[in-house]
Amino acid sequence: MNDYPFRALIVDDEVPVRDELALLLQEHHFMVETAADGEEGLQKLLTDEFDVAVVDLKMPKMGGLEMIRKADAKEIDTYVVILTGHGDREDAITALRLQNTVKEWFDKPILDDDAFAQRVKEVAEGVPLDEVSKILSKLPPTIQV
Amino acid sequence: MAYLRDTQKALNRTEIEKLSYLGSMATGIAHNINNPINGISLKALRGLRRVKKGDINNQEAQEIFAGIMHEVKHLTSLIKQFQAFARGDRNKRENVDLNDLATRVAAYFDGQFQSHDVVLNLELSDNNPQAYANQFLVEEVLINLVTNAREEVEKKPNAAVWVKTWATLEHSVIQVEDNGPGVSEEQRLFSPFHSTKAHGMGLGLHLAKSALERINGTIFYQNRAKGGACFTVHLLPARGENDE
Repeated sequence: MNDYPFRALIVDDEVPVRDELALLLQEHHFMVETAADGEEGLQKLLTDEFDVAVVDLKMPKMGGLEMIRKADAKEIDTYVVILTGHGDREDAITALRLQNTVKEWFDKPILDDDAFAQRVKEVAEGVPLDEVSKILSKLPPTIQV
Repeated sequence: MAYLRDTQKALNRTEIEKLSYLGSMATGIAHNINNPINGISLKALRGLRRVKKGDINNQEAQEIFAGIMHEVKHLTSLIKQFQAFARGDRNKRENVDLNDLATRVAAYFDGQFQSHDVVLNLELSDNNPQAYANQFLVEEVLINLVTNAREEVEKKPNAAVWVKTWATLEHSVIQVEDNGPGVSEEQRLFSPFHSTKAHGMGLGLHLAKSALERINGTIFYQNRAKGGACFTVHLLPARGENDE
């Protein structure tokens, strides 16, 4: 169990969805930032650090898939949970197959709030633990902690 | 072709037209219905979470219910518009505000355009052009043109559609432009059963032309100067109270 709150970025153009998911994750002790489209989301990913990003695929200005690709190109490796909702499940599957950072997807109209929060937490937990174990395994034995 | 002609005659032409446009409109509106439903669902889930834990207060309960009602009113308004369009009297003639009409049609389709990465631009005259016409027939024509335009440009980079309105002394005008490939067979464009689409029946523009003839309107095509298609609809100018 970590002793600091996870940081989540929610990127969705629908205000009620953004607000409700932010409240939900706050209830699960996340610190939450939000963005209204892919451009704003990318900007926040580039300038701040997050344990997980929850990203809608269909958004104005820049869609979720393009945002994730651009973040990947800038070597931002924040893990992503995708949101779908307008018949864009094929795009979600494409993202899961092509982008290493995409770990999960949820369909908004049938979203189960508890399952969603639990999975987002697992994905967030996976980021630092994976990274830490990778780094530790490369360190010489004398300075391992 | 004789069989097709006979079948076409046998069917009620007005009903075919209406069903065709209702189909386009339903598909467009479906995108706009999903968003409020997502909001309603998530707000209701929050209410349930709070009730299960027994920690909901009056203020938050009011906020949740008011939020749900806000989304429900939005959905109700969409459905009312759909019903008005479905049941509207297409024989009535009146002055129609073209800017209102273009804004309404754009609102039906904005979610659909967004989900196909197509930008829908409204360039409406500041002079509030009015036409002596039937609002539902003009709406049908605009739905047809806007849907065609979106289908032509989607999956292309910087895909965009423009709806413009203006008025001259002779005409009140609606124009729909896109930055797609344009049309190569202009002379057959408005003929029935002529289509360049894989799944098209080739009735859309023919129906639009027929609808416009009923209100003394005309439609014509020209290639867009910067590449793409440009359809211009000429309608009768608005009538004053004392006009015949």
